[in-house]
Amino acid sequence: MPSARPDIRVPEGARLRVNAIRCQAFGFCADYAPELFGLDEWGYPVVHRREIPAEQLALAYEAARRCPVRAILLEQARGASPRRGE
Amino acid sequence: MLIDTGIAPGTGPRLLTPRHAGRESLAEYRRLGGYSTAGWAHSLPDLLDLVEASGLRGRGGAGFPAGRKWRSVAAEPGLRVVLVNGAESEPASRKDHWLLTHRPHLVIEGALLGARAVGASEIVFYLHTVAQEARAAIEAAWRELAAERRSLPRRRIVVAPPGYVAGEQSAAIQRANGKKALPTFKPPRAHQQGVGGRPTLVHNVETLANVPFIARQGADAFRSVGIPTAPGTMLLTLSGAVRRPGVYEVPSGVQLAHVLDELGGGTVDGGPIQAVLPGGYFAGWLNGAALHGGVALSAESLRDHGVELGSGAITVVSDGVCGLAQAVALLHFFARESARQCGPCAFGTPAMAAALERLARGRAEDNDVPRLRRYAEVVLPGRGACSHLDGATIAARTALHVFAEEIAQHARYGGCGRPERVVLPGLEDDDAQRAA
Repeated sequence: MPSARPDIRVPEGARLRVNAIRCQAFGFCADYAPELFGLDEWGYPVVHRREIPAEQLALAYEAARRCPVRAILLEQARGASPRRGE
Repeated sequence: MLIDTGIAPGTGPRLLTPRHAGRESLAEYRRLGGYSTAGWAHSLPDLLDLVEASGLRGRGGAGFPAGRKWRSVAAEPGLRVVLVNGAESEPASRKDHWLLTHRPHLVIEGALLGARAVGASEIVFYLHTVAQEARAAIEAAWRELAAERRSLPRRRIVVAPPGYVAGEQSAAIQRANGKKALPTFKPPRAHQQGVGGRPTLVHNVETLANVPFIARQGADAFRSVGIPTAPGTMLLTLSGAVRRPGVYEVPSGVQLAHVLDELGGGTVDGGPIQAVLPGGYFAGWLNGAALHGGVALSAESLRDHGVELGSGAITVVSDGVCGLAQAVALLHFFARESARQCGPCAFGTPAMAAALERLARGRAEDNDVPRLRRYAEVVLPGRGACSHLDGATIAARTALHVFAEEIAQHARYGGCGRPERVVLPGLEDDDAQRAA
C-alpha cells in the first residue's frame, strides 16, 4: 500500500486482521479508529484496508489494545517493527 | 454403494482402476506397481524435491502446491503427523470415498511416503461418519501391510461428524485433538501446530493418492499428462442432470463440455444445460452457455468465468428446472451449514439467502439486487475464519450473474413456470421441508 507521504516508509507486512471467531461486535474499534474500521449492518468490524500505513500504526495498536476480547491482530513480516512506530 | 467410473480416452489410469468391484488387495496393488522398490529408494531430500518438481497441487479445493506444504512441515522441529483428510463433506463429491473403498493401498502408500518425507511418526485418517466401508477398507489394507512390514507409523482413525465445515482442515485437526470439528482462526496453521500440537501435513485423499506414481515414475512422467500449472490427472464426480453420473479420471485442463458429453453422456433429457457447478458447492455457478465458449477444467480458465476450480464435484442443472430455485437452495445450505462462530458468516449467509429468495419469489425489495451484490462482493468476502463464508459469497455473486435473466423474469411474473424442485445432491429435500 503506497503511503500518502512518500517520505514515510511503510513497513512491509504490517497488516490488520480481525479474528472473527473472537469478535463479539462490541464496536470499540470503529468508535476509536473510524479511519481503520467500519461496522457492517450487524455491528461487526470491516477493516478498510489490510495494509496499515506507518502513520496509522500507533492508532491501530491502540485500537487493538482497546478491544475487550483481543480480536484485533496486527501482524508483521519479519524485520518490520510496527510497535516502535518505524 | 455402486459408483460408476470411467477414464478419459488416451489417459492411462493412475488413480482409477475401472470396473473395480471391491477393495483392491495388497497383492493386486503390488501387481500394478504399488510399494515398489523404486518408489521407496529416494533419500528424504530427493523425495521432497520430487514432489515439488512434480507440480502436484492439493485436490481438496484450495489447489496449494503440495511440495511447498511438505517443505514447510519438514522445516518445523519435532516429530510430525500426517492427516489424511477423507471427510469429503462436499455433498456432490464421491471421489475420495471411491479411492478409500476401492484403492486404500494407493492412499496409504501416499500417506506413508508423505510421512517418510516430512518425518511423521503418526498417520491420522479422518473419515466421514457414514463411510463405514471406507473405514473397513483402510483397516483391512493396513492389516495386510502390517503383516509384512515391521515398522509402520502409528495409525489412528478419527471419525468426522456430519456437516460441511467438519471437512475443513483446522476442523479436522480439532477433531483429531478430541475437540469439536469446528474451524479455527489461523494462525496457528497446521504445519506449525496441528494434531497433538505437532507440525501436521494435511492432505486431501486424492492428493496423497498421486504421490506413489510420482515416487515410482518421477516428476516428468507425472507432468506428461495435464497442464503445466496443475499437472497430472484429476478426479471428477459428475452429478445432476447427466446421463452417466459417476467418478471419472481426466487430464487436468480438459474442456468441460467434452467431459459432460463424452463421459457424462449429455443431459438426461437430451436438452440444453442451463447451469453448472463445476467445482463443488463453494466454487460458484457457471452459465451453460460458457460450455460452448471452451471453458476448461483449469483454475485459470474457470477464473476467467468468475468461478473456481474447486474439488472436481461437477453438478449439472438442465433447462427443465428453475435454476434460480437451485441457487436459493444453495445459499440456504450455506446458511444452515455455517458453524455460526463468526458474526459475518452467522448473519451474512442467511441474509444473502433471504435476499435471493425474495428475488426468486418476485417479492424483492427495491434494492435487493444491489444489496446482494454488495454483500457478496464488498461486505462479506474474506471475513470468516474459514472459507465457508467466501464459498457462500461466490455462490451468491455468480448466481446474480448466471441467473440474471431468471431474476428479471421472476420479478415480473413471480416465477419462470419451471418446476422449483431442487436437484442438487444432498439438498433435494430442502424445498420439501420448506413446503411442509
